[in-house]
Amino acid sequence: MAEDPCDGELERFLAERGGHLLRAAVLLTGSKEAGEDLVQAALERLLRRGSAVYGDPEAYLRRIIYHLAADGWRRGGRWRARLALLRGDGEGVAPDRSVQVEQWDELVRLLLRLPPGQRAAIVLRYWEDLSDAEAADVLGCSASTVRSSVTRGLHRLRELSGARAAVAADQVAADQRGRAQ
Amino acid sequence: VISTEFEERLREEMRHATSGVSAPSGLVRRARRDRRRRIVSRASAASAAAAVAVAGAVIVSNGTTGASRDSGTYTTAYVVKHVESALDAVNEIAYLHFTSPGVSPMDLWVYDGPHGQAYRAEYFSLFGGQPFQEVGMTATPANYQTWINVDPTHKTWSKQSY
Repeated sequence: MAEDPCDGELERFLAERGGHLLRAAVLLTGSKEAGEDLVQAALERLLRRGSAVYGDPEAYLRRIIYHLAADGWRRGGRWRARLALLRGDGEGVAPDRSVQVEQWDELVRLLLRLPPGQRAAIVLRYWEDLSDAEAADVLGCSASTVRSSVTRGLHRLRELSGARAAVAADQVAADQRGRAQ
Repeated sequence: VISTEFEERLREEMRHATSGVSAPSGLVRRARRDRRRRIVSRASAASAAAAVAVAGAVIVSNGTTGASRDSGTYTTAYVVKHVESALDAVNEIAYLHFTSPGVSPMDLWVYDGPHGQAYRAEYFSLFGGQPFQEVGMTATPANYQTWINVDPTHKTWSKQSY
């Protein structure tokens, strides 16, 4: 295949910064496989735009990754199906053992249960370490929208985490009662 | 900004959950290949639809032997295979001329580039070589598609956008 002369440059950029973008995509989608799909979909968009965005591919790719993640969720597409597999906790979805749910940290798993906008805002604020204004620029919304998404997202995460802790405590208590009898 | 313990835990878990993740090599190559496949499948679907309209017969979608003598059209697999290899060779634009005994010749243009995608197929009569069907499709980068179908024999044409 005749390669575009810019491909080598892009590959070098991805070798340097692709890992960071992929890690964000993994947090947004819930698995490495879905994260790679997301990064690749963003790359396809970049290739379609051509050299117009090659000057600053990271900013463009990051924006597309976050937008696509939110879009995929809304349309109930394949990412949503994959995310549902990761829930696996009382929402009528059987856990998929092929996805290594058990290795994930609790809050990251719970993150997947937030609406996509809140999840994206939280990943941008707490993983990318962007300010509200910078996160707003990526998401194409106002800084106040980011602030409110983060606040509501954190509140929900606390609720979910607390509920899990309560369920776990109940389970421990029930086990202890069972052993005592 | 003072982070709460909960926020710090969230940061830490996000770092931990992604610590072993690294980007595989060849992402650009894969993205280009997948894009090409998409345009080829779109073009082949259009080709199949056009060929059905022309020949009034069902395309053998899983055929691989080239022109289908029963239907008098080219099989989807045959068209896909040739478009794929042509795009491989020239990257963004391909021109193909299909001929096979007993089957109407077909000219096919496929473009896949930064300005979108375009596909145009023209069918020629076996006897005399006059064009008797033309199907064109253009898609913008945002995938707004326009289809044009021209029937020179009956001097009619139609256009659809979506």
